[in-house]
Amino acid sequence: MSIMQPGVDSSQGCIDFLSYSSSLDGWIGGGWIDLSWDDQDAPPDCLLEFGEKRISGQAIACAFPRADVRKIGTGLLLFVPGESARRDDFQDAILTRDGRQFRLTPSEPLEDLSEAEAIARTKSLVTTAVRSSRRAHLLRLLNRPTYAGQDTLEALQPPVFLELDSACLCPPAGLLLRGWFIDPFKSVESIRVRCGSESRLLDTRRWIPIARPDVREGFARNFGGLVDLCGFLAFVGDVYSTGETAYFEVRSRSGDVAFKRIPQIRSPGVDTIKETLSHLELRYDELAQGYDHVLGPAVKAMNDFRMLDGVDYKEMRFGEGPAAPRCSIIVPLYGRIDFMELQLAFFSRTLGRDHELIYVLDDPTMLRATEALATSCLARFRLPFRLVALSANMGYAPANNVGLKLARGEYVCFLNSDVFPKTPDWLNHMVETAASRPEVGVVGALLVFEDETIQHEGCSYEVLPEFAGWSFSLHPRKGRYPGGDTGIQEVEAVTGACLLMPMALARAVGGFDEGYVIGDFEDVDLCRKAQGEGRICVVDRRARLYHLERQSQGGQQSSWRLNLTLYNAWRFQNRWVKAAAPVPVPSEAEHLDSPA
Amino acid sequence: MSDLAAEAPFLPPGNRADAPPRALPSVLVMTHSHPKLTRGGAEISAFTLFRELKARGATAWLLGCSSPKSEARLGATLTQPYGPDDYVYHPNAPFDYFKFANPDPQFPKVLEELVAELKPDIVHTHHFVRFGVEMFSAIRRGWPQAKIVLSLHEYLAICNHHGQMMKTRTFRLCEKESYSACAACFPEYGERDFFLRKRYLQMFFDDVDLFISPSHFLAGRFRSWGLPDGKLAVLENMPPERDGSPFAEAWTQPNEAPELLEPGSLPSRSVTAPGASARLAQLRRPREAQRTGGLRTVRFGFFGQMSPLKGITVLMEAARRLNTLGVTNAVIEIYGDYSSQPIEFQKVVEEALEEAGENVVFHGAYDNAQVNALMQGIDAMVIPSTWWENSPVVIQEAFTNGKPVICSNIGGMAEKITHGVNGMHFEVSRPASLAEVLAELATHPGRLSALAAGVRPPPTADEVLDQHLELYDRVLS
Repeated sequence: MSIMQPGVDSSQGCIDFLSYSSSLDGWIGGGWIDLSWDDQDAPPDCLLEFGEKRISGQAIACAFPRADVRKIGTGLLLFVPGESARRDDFQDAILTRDGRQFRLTPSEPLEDLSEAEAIARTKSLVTTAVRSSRRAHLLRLLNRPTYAGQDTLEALQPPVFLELDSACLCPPAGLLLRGWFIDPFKSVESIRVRCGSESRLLDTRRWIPIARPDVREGFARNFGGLVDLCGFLAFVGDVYSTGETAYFEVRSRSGDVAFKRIPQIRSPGVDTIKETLSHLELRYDELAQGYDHVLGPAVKAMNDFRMLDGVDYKEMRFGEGPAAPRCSIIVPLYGRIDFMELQLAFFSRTLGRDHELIYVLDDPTMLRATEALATSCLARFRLPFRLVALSANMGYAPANNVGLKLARGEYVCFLNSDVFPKTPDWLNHMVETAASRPEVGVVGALLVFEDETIQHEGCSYEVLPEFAGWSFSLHPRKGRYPGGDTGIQEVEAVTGACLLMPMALARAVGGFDEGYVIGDFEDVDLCRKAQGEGRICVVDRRARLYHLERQSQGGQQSSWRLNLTLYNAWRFQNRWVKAAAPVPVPSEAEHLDSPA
Repeated sequence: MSDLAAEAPFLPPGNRADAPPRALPSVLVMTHSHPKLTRGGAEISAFTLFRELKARGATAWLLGCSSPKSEARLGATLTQPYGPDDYVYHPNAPFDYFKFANPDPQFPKVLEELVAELKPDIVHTHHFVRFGVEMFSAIRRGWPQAKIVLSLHEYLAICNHHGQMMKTRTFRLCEKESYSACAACFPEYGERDFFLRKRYLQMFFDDVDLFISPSHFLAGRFRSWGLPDGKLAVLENMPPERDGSPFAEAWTQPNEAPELLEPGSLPSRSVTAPGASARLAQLRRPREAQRTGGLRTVRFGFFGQMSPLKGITVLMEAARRLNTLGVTNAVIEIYGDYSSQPIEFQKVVEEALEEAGENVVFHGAYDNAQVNALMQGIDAMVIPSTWWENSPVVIQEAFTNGKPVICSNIGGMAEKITHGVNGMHFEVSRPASLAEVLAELATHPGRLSALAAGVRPPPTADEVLDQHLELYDRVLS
């Protein structure tokens, strides 16, 4: 221990060592303090300053005899509860009690002890202190068990059972944990997740309970009062660091502590998003809690990570399109590449050659087949198009945004692959509407099913109580026969299945928001962005197309897909509904005349 | 039906011909196979048409498709192994039998170039299988002046079940296609797939100037499906000729196409396959010394594939019932083959033959060149098909030989046979109904003679060609 000579600055003591203990959730330090310090049981407030970061709390301060400073002060051991910080940024510790402040500054150099070394040093010194309740308190704290690589949960009494089925990283430092937990005697006070110097409370009130009748049945012989909802899906943020061991620390009400290692932590991807969202049926109020505290942050983190590297792609040209297209049609392809064949066949009869077609293959597994089909389509239908192949499956928004980046048209029309023309002049009508009315930012079409009933004639928002009271964009009159009206009508939003915008506007608002996963709500989000620019959305009912809804996604109707829609809905609420006043709903009378 | 029956409803008005004769049109005849390679009805009709046109002095070409066994030339999509007017297309990609699309990227260009080079007045195609329905656009692009004629051979465009319009699981007759009914037959597809299939086909059919149907029944089905009235005509296929026929080689090849197994395989006639059934053929010979109760023996003939669709089991059961009814002078003579049927059905046929009474005589496969001679030995033909049929060639063969026909009361066959005039109808798939008709004719030979007197010979190839030329004239004008 190096001792700084007193009186060299305005400090009233020194800190010789200071280490963060993740197992104790606080800072352990030692040094000396001015003789005027009154060593008594009442705990002082302590403020640790690390540059801009400050950590404060009630400290345990315990004086001990130190011969080297006996004329000016006394040795002092400290424990300050709080979160971790960069030790190198440590500036000073300020102890306050009864209105008096003592400023302790770091020795030069501040000793760099590991957590274990700091605990051992403090334990050894505190035994020299006079017996007191603060000495006993500190000793108890220091003697608390720490994780030594061995699971001790099984030995805990009364018994507690905590098992993980999976743990997935939610970058940068979150963990999504799926498992089950049985505390038959309600003896657990807290569960913490610890990793390296970080620790976070696992709040059982905020996890998503999951029915695990298999677990309950397995334990029912030995324990009564168990319920099916003993499984959980939990998110713990800012705790994990690569290379460190993550583990649970379970504290009982009787003061016992036990540990259990968190096994293999998986890296995130689309598959982990799917797994996360599978087998969940949250409704009503469960939704808000489940998405606010678990699914929302977890899926967002996984999706953000997925998008980190951006999108790599290659472009192939099949035939020569127009040099300066009037409109660029962007069609993402996933799974059903045969829709490209059908669209090109139908477009070959209906699409003006002043427009360009861009297919964005968002399915690398289909690359060769798509290239071959593209070659065949050009030979058969003689309609030029561009094929952009993404190197990874990225989802609806990134795929469209790549197309948007490459598009050269004056207008852009985002089109689903399962949309097929009904009237030959659909695109000209839409372009004309956008061109003739500067206030129009988004133009949609009248989309019908194969039985000629409405699939889409504009979207409106509706609050759905069964889904947490969130706003969803719905398709009014869906499934009904369209009226004879062929005019242009302002609407709240337009489906992305067929959505036309001026290119400059689409680019100015950044295209589709890539925070939505796979394909939901991006379209109404885009409409909101356009409306934020002072533009309106309309449906041009003269433009009629067939939309074989959900066929472009390969018919996925599993629970994870529905939950993903709910995730996207959650994101939409946070971005638009909670943050802003609702967009005014146009009255039914607000018809715009058809352009002359 | 060999006349231009009901021409007026099917053809644009104002084109009837009292017009002076004009020069013969040049015709590119297309068929989904090649008669040198396979011998289905469509390719036979196509080849006969091609040959008759040339015999009449017209300029004609034939374009068929290769078979897996035909030799291709490396890098050549079209070859001419059979002569300067005779082309063979070698597909370069697996065919899409669902919507009859041909993904071969070489074919459109090759076809465009061919029609641009040949400049035919008429492109008359006897199928769209293997060529793909996109061929109509390619012809339009390559030689816009050509008129496109498509002969319809079955219900393929309407029905994904091999064009049979029968339910896949129950094999019940299907009256009308719908997206939901088709999706029920093919659970692997959705209703929307059938919606797209139909739109795809109809879009390319737009380029066809005239559809020729060999029966009113088939024409009606296609009209109901959406083909415009003004583009539909009813005209019998060119009848096959056998004496000195260039198909001789082909006609003696075994039939390799099972009726139900492969997508897109077309029902075709079974003729000369030396049968798996040769042993049975040996076992069952006609017994001249039957006890006939004083009545002369009446022989009913069945010619063709012994398949479920051709109603062989209906016929066998009817024969059993004849025994039960005590009809002793009726003999069922079966000329056909079942070796290409699924194994399970082969067993069914063999068991039925083993158990059949002496009123069933199984001859096995036959050489089609001998069909006229064989038919001379029978009194009436039986066509007990359980599907709609279209215009079975065996009817023309029977009429050529002056034999009345007893057929199921549905579809194209019922249309071709006038009940009580040149044959009799019975209730489809009902052996009891068939047995009743057979018993009546066996016990009242006078009825049979009256029906034979009602048979009129079918039009000759020359006459059918005249009708084709008349249609060509109309479509060209």
